[in-house]
Amino acid sequence: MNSNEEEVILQPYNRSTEELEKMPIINRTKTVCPTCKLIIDGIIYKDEDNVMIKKTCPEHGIFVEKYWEDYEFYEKMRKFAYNGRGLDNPNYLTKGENCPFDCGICERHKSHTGLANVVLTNRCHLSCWYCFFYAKEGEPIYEPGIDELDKLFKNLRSAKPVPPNALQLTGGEPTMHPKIVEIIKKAKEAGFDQIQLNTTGINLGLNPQLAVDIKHAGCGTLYMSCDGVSAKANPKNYWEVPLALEASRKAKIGIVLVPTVIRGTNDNELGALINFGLNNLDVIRAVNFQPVSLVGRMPKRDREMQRITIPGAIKKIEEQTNGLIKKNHWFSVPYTGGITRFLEAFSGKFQYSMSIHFACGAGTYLILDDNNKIIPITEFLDAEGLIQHLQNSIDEMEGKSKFARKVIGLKTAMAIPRFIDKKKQPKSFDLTKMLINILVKHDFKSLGAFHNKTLFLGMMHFQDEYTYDINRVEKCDIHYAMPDGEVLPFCTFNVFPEVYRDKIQKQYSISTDDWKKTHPNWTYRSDKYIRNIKELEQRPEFIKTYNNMIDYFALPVNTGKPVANFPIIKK
Amino acid sequence: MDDKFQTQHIQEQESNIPEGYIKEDGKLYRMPYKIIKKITFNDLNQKELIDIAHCARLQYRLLNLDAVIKAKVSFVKKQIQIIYNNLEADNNKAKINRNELIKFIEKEGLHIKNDKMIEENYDYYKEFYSSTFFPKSIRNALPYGWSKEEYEKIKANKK
Repeated sequence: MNSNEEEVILQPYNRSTEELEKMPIINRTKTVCPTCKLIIDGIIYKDEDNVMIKKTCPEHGIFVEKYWEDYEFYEKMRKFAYNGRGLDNPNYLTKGENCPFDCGICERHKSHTGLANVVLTNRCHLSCWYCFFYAKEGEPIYEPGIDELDKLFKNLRSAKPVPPNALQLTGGEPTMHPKIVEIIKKAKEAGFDQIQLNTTGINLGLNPQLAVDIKHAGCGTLYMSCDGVSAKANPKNYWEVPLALEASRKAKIGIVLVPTVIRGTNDNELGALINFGLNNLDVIRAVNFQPVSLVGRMPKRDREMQRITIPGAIKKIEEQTNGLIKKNHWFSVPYTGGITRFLEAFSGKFQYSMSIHFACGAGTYLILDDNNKIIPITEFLDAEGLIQHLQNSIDEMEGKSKFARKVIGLKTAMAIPRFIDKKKQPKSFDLTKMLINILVKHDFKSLGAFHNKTLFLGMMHFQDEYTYDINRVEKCDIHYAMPDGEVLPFCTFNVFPEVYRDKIQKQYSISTDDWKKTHPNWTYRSDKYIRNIKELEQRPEFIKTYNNMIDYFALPVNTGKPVANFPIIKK
Repeated sequence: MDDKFQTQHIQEQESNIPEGYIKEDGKLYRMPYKIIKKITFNDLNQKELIDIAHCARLQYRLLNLDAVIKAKVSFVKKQIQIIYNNLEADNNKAKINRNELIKFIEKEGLHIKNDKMIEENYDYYKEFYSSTFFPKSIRNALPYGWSKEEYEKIKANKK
């Protein structure tokens, strides 16, 4: 990036009130004042290429924040937005008129739980400066027992009409719970198909047997924090990631790398992270970028300097991969709703559906073919066309008998090849067959094989008080199960921790004095991990992982140009 | 001490349930509260409540108090309902008394009518915890693209 570009990006956003009044309005919503939490109107408007959110508190003035850095892309992403269905048996009976302070989850919510989160402990072996999830010294310890956690699993699985089938165990650091293996077994018994561990990977890397044990217990994926491919961008676990990769290989657990993207900190290594994923495709299933949520009070200028939204991160990826992974390769999560709604209309059976707000996430798949050519899936799949085709079929099925719907369904499936460019599709790949299996036979097993040959790239942007959009919260499908039986959407649980996360966990916590009575050898410091950098850098896993990387983007079959910030390791 | 709670207290001591826990189906679950209080302030002045947004903010502020477990401020019902951990409750969590709550609400610009105030014991386990863990169904959703009659036919055919 040259200094002129940097100057443009870092310009403060200064518009007069008169100018703001004239900006075209895209949408209206409800939001909160970041200072006093008054529920106020939010105006989502267009300012040149940007989508902004503006709100005015009668006591604290105007707040303007970047909502989405690309207007054209915003319009594309919202094309297939739809309202999902909430819970038939919401855990907290209230109409939700004081949303988001009526949460628990209420009758008004518009998505079932897609990914359930359960906190196993608030102890952590790291002390990352930006993290609010872990217990500081002297703070009460929250660490439920197995029976308590089992009760939460069953509570989640009793949701109607669609219970969650994916569970993420989180913390703190979940591997610090002494019963982690038994907990995973309980989760499997409760009926979760997919169990993920949200972890730094450090304990698993240092203790590979634990990785084997959790795999046997039923954990299929590590959701592993990884902020970059250099020590500077990823001081958290740069030295331990290679160990975690090796342990996962041996245990046959897949890994999703999860970088928190902060402008000016690690946004220059997004392409390099994707390349890292491609280098480890045998074990890395996905890279799920999380543009930073600026939770807590932060001055406006600091927010502008650090804020990056989904299209901002996608633009960086396009630049850093020399145009190989383009903006138009990405689709919003509600696109998948076209498939699930088709299945429901066809079969009459409730389907698991990701009905989140279109601004919350995005995704695409990369396929690495036998010649090391990187092919984004939307190079050969017309995703928009396919979803529109499915929607047309849904409209055609309305009011028809079950037999007639079957006929329409078969006709729909036979037309799928129209949306796939076979010339561009990798030879070892048969997307037509996979889609027909899913749509007609409801056979999702082929998805497993699909994931083995691809790298999923995801974007997930959680909200903060500045960007808060209640329309988005209503549709959130990432829910936390609380020890008091309540269920909370992510952006309620984490944006207002003082009345949700921290409050409820504190109720169910034990003071450190009481904790020491049952854990006599425990001290706060004994929980903390201290690394020996020299020793780690000499380990064969470290050398193999970082020294032997191929720059796939630099290969002639791809762009022929190196990915930006490809790490050079001093040998 | 409340009779119901006295009985429960004795039963716990005899069954060796640790302090701050309950037993369900032979398993122990943390239970930070037992018998606490629910207070309802009725017939509030809607001008003082201002509007729904201000009610939501007041609800947030009440929830911010450690000793308040749940709060509901309703503009339509002209009512505030608070479940709180009173000074006399048998637990080691943060506590508050009724007068402190009233002062807090009055600082927000609301006048409480003492004769419209109802305070009662609240069994946290039976009235709150059990309802969140065993929620009732309030509706029956339909699969996308199916009417109620069509869906009833599918279910009938399956039987």
